[in-house]
Amino acid sequence: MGRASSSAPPSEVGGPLSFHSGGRPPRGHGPSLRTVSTGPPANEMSGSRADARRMVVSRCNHLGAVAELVEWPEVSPEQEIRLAALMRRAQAGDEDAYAVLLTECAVLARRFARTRAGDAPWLDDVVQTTLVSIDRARHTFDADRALGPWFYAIVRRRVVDMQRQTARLTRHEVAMDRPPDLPFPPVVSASDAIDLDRVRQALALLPPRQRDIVEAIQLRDEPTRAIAARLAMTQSAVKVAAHRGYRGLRRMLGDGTADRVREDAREKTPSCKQNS
Amino acid sequence: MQTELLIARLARQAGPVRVNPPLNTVCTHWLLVSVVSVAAGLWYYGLRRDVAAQLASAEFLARALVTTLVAVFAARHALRWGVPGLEPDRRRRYVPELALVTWACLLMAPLVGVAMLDRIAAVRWHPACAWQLAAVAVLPASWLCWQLRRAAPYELLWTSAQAALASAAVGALAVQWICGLNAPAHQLVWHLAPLLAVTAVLALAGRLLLRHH
Repeated sequence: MGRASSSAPPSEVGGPLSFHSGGRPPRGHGPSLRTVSTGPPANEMSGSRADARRMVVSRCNHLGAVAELVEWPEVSPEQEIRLAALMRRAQAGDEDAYAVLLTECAVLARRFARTRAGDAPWLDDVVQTTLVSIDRARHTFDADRALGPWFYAIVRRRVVDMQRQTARLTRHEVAMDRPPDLPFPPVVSASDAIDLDRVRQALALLPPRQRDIVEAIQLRDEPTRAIAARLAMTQSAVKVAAHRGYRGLRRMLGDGTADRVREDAREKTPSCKQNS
Repeated sequence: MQTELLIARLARQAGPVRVNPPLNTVCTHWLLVSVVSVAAGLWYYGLRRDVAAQLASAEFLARALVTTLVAVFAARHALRWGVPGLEPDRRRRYVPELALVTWACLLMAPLVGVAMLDRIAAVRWHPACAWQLAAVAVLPASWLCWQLRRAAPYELLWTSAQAALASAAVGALAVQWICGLNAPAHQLVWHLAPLLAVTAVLALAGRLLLRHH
């Protein structure tokens, strides 16, 4: 389990701690990461802080995983305990606790990413992907363990992924001061060329169910599954009805307008095996 | 999207989650599944006839022990790779592979210096061992894959390779108790090589199956 065999009491865990347990000291420029050490004796610290520190150290010693504390940079033991408690509440479904936890994790993730990559333009992306990853991996956090290694393993992975992605892009892309000249004038989109009044009139003439489906797909961007559920139909039936609606529109409009509507529809609806 | 909006959305959608059991529990369950799979394989294909004699053979026991260690270490590593922050450190990362190399050395040691290639080339065609290995590996591999999909692995290929190695090693262990051929060359060609092949195939398949993260 990666839990070292050491089980020294908290008072014996003094002195500098080293990075191990799968991690390595954070690299990169920026502020150096402050590791959590046991520091001064507990009786020299303020009461609550000493108690909190003692609790974390005790827990980590119990697990034989003092190194887990070390990978929790720039975070006090009190914060560690508080965040772990928030995570436990979040695992139980407490939305408020989860929001607070994510907010604090966003700050920590941004700080960590900045120490790794400086003021890179993708810090926000890293923070957001980290939050999504935390959300997806929430159930893997073991309440008996420290939150720090779990959290920083995710952030570290996201930073590395982003650095790799950036490196890959910069290898193939060239930054330019202004966009390149277009060889031809911009094309007017098909939607711009549609006579919307005529389409609306034609829509009004469709059977109610077909009109409802076409409007749901084209105007309200409803997914086919939702439409099918709402109208108590199968998805295939919805697609067939939609294509019949497009065919009716084409017949009523009598020109290329409906074809353009259908082109738009092809982009919005999944492929249907039945030809209209 | 702004980070604040994302946080609000994630918090709004948050429901209670079923926390994954501790790693030791999952490992124990996998061991039970593997034992069941091996037992089913032995029941279906039949125990080798000279089991009693082999149980007194140090060589056989050493091979079985090393194969078991490969399976256990690899499964444990795979499950650890599935939990952020629990990844094996660099010193222990290659323990399963080290055990695998030890097994290969045990098989190759009797062949060294005695026309090794000739003896390997003279091995009779015996694909049953490979099929049996793959068949026994299916259940542990499926169970590990299911567990890893519930976890959050980030090194997909490495995680699935460890899981595949663990499962194939379970298959190889079962085949050692099924196959009555003790020749090292046979075991090298029809036990170790299929293990590597099954590992490679399962690793690639597992990578695809774990990709949803």
